[in-house]
Amino acid sequence: MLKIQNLTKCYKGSDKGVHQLNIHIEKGDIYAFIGHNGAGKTTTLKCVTGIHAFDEGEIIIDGINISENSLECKRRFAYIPDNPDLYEYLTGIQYLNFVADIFQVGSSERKDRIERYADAFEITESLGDLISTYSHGMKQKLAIISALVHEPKLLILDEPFVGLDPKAAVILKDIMREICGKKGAVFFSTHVLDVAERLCNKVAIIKAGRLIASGNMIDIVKEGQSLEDIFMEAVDDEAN
Amino acid sequence: MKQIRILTKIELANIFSLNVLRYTKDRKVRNTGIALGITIGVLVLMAISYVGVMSYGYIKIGLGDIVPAYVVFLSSILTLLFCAVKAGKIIFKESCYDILSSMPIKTSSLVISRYIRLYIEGLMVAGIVMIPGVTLYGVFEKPGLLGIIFGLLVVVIVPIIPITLSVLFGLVITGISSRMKNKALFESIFVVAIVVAIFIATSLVPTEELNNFDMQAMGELASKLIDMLYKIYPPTAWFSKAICEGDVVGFVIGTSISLILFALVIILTASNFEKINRGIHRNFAKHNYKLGELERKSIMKALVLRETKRYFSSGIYVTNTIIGPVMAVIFAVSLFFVDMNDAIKDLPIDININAAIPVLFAGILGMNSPIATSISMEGKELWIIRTLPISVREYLKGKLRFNIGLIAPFFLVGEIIMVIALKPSVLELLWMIALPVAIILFILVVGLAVNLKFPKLKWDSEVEVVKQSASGMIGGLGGFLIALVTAVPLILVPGSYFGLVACVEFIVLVVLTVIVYEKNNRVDMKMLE
Repeated sequence: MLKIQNLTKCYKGSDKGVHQLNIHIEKGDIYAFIGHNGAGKTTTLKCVTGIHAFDEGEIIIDGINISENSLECKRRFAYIPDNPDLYEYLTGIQYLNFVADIFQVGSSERKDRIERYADAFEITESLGDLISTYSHGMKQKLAIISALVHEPKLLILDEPFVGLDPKAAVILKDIMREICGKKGAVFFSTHVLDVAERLCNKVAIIKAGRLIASGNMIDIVKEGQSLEDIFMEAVDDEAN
Repeated sequence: MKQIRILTKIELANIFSLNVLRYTKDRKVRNTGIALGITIGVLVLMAISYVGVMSYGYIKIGLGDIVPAYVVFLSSILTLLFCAVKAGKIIFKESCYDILSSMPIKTSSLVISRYIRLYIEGLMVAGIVMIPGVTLYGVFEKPGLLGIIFGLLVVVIVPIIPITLSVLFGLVITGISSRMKNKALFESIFVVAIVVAIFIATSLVPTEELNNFDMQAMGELASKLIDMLYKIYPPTAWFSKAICEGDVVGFVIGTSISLILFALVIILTASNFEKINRGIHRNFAKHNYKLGELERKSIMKALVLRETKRYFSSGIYVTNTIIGPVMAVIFAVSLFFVDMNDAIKDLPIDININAAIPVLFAGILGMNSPIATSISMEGKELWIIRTLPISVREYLKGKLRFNIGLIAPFFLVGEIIMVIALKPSVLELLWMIALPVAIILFILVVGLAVNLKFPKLKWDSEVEVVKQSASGMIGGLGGFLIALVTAVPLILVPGSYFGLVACVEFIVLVVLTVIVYEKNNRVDMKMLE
């Protein structure tokens, strides 16, 4: 579903970025992407989603190279950033309609999907209000609904659980599992390691822009250990 | 005092994004800053040259005493216009309000620091006009030591009253609009009404007398002009008399009134600061939405609708960019009252001024077009467009369509008025419509090109984009310059060649429009950082 091959992105005047990154996400995967602050998680996600240009490598989504046909790639995924800056001058429903129009989602499908997710996240009654009146959590919920309104094959999320209330976090995890059950895939960055361990079947650990571990969760996290132990060991080993 | 000093330092640190330019490692941001600096420098030089030439001209024809009144009046009007739109945004800016409110900071310190920032910005505007005028007056008219001292002090004092008035406008606008759901629309209508009123009031100069300019009546004319400026704006009298005659009383009255007004407005603002801020940040959330039928629209319709909502959501955006179209219609209406041929009849060359009128109309219409800042206005929200399956062509076409739709009603009204006023022949009518259309389309694609070249996506306040960004400034005047360049050949060629020149210009404009349009569409949105 998503192949990141030898991805390199450098920022001018800074040693930050990502270097020769390789990640392979298959259909049905829930893939966690973990690392320190500034390790390169968001940079990677922004390269994958077409927000940032990159210097080297290839990004292939559902068999399509993003450098060659970015529009087709974008029709297949949805992205939710860590801090969803949405159009504050629109109401929630206007924003959802805008996204649905861009993806040309039919009237009845969009209504069904919006109704289902907005009711689940308990924000239906606020959809008529301007987004500028929303709390951070409500914006996060709206961003999630907008990402789901066109039923993406690949869901890419940056720190999706920050700002969500416990019930919403549970619903989001269920949605992730549902997407994977329908042969889609989810790729998300997180600092919440126990959630990643319980939810994901695969994990990648990044440090200073380089991948230091990746693979199946059961292969990486051995019995009697936790993802937290593995993460600390991995980053400490690299430091030594 | 310490709090005021610290807060003022923070306020002033990033005027014109200087702090960002100082510390950024991003070459593109730095280059944009340099381009902005050069643009500001050129505009300042143009303004200084204009005031200098005007002042020198007055002095040379024996009307030197009018110079202090002229520069005091002009700098006050410019400061008022410059600050009126942004005063409310600076004094009651939302950014960091929650953090600052939770700190042990006196409201008065916060308010004073923001006033100082506004004063410094106003002083820059006033200085551009005052310094060359007062300097030339001092050098050539030799007003005496007291006049020179007052001249130097007046430069610093003159901006206070217009800034105070602009803050009062800001208070009234913000106070009323905070009680309204559509704050932006109210703000826009109010500010545009004030600017138009000032424009009309200041254009009520006795043009008959000025046109029938008689060298022997210069003294009488000068005194009439001075009296008129004194009546329109009394501080002109106090300050210009202080410079010309060393009038201590005038200087003391002007300075005292300026400082008292300033202090009163600061006290008024500080005592109502939290109340007004609460009003500004008031939510009108109803929490009663019920999901009904949802209509599917085309991608283009969705993009244009979003552009429309973006535009009308921002008071400062609308206010700054709608002035051009409003002025264009006023310009068209003025053709009923002012005979352009009469105004230029004393010029030594024979020019066809009527040929340039529709072109100048298009130039005014395209002045400060919102399209030149429309990409910058996306700010942090640009990630949405970047991750949606929309091509650059579709995205930019959405912006073009919205802007055409915005200008169209003003264009139609202005064209109808011009047709009635100028009574053109069929051929003239054809070019009267075709050339402005071509100019406006060219202005729009150039505006987009400028914003693609100089995007400013990181900002705290919309003021930074609309009034202080490179694309805002270049786009602001660029449209009118395009029209001026188009107008010159039209007015200089003999009437029999008018059709040919208009045709050539039309073709050139269309070709250039297509070239710039296609070049815009090849820009990679990922490069806008």
